[in-house]
Amino acid sequence: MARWGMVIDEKRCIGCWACTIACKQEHFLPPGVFWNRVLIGESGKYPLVSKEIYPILCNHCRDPICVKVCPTGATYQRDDGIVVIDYDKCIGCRYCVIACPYQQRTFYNDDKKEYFPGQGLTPFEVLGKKLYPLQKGTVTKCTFCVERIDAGLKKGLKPGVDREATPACVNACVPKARVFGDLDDPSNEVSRLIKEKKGKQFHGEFGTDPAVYYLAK
Amino acid sequence: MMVNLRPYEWMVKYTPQREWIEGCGIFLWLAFILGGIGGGLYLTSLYFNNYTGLILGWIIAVILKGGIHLAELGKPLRAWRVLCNPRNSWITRGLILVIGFGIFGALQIAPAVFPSLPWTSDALVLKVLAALFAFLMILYPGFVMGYIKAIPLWNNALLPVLYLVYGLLDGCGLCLLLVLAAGVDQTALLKIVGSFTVLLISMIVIVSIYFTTTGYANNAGKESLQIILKGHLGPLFYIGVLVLGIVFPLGIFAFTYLTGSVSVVLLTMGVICQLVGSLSIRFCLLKAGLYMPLIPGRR
Repeated sequence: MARWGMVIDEKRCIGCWACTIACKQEHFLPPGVFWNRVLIGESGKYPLVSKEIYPILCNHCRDPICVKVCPTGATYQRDDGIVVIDYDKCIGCRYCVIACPYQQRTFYNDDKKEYFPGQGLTPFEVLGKKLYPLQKGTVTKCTFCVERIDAGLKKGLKPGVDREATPACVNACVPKARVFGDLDDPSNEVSRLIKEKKGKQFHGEFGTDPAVYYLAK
Repeated sequence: MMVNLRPYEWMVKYTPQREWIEGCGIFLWLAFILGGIGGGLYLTSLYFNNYTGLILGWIIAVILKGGIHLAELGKPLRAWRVLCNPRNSWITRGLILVIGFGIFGALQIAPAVFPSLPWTSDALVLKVLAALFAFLMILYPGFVMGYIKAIPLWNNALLPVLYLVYGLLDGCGLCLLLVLAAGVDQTALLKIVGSFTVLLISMIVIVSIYFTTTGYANNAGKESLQIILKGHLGPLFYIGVLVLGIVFPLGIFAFTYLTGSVSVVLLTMGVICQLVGSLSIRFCLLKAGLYMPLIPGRR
């Protein structure tokens, strides 16, 4: 069984937010809910200033603390390492939101928000509520576009290689800063990049072993 | 080098947890406190043989705490699902403890309300089981919070002990108020005053060790401590926790215990002040919980 993971090359990322938009579009995420974020800023002082860009998403840890603390089993880890939430089981206790060291979970509690306040829902939002109905009072987060991966695998496609089976943020990434693939396959590009370019994880000290690696500048 | 950013400060600065103290998260603070007060009142009432305290403690811990927990949930109608993960989740274990206390506590108290029942309130098995569940119920919020490595202020082995001592102290104080209201003899009263004073001194020791060990934790732990001692939580800590919660009640109770002269007004004020201290410290702990910044941690 594969263990899906992602490598993000900081040197390649240009901070265009295409991944953020693609993710919102793919999952019809309501206002205020982001599964994918891009952090852009500057460090240093003039004239030695450098631009810092960090795309951030759920790390789909190998040893996820969110799965351990969930009292209902709503948050669970699939055999392929992807951590997902069953909205029908989530009770909204927010223990997972508190426990995630990466603060990548959102408590969705305001289903009245509109993209254009006071003007009603757009056709996009109406469709989203039908296709990806988030439940008020539950927690939500990135799924690595699990529905694309599953559908792609059924068709014999390879996630990370075939666009149809690859997460939307990876497809949308213009400079190809994101690479998706099987972390347990040494010949896969993600494994190769992590090994050759010394990919690093966020906060390794928590022992969660994230599946998202960053290649430093 | 610290990255200077505006939109996502939570990624580059120490960021406070908000879910369990702001908005409906405030109910969790209240529920944890009521669990401590209810369990503590039950245990101390069992020790001092006060039936009113037993009943009140059970109502506070089971009915009030349970109701407030439901109000805090995003989907309260699914609350039964909390029982699904006892192997890993401290919330599940907590609910099991509350249910256990609810059952054995009710069985132990029932004969006092319904004398026709075939067993008595003095049944040792029921007393031991109810006391055990009450004891663990006071402890578990400390484990719920202490399990979270991401917030160093909470990730401290002493947190359950701190919750235990505060729970017993709150319960002992309320038990004293009940005894005062019932007008029991002075010897029994002084016995409770003595226990309260000992608990208060234990609490001072544990709070001191807790904050000292947090000071040796990582930078987020130190930053949390700064917020409590020197930051915006400073007034609450010094006035609520130290003066009202420790100095004032300690003075009153030590004086009462040593001189043997009982002043109902002073003792009542002492208990109320200690309760304010108990509310304050738990608020400070929840409010000052900080995450490590996401970005500089790996640099």
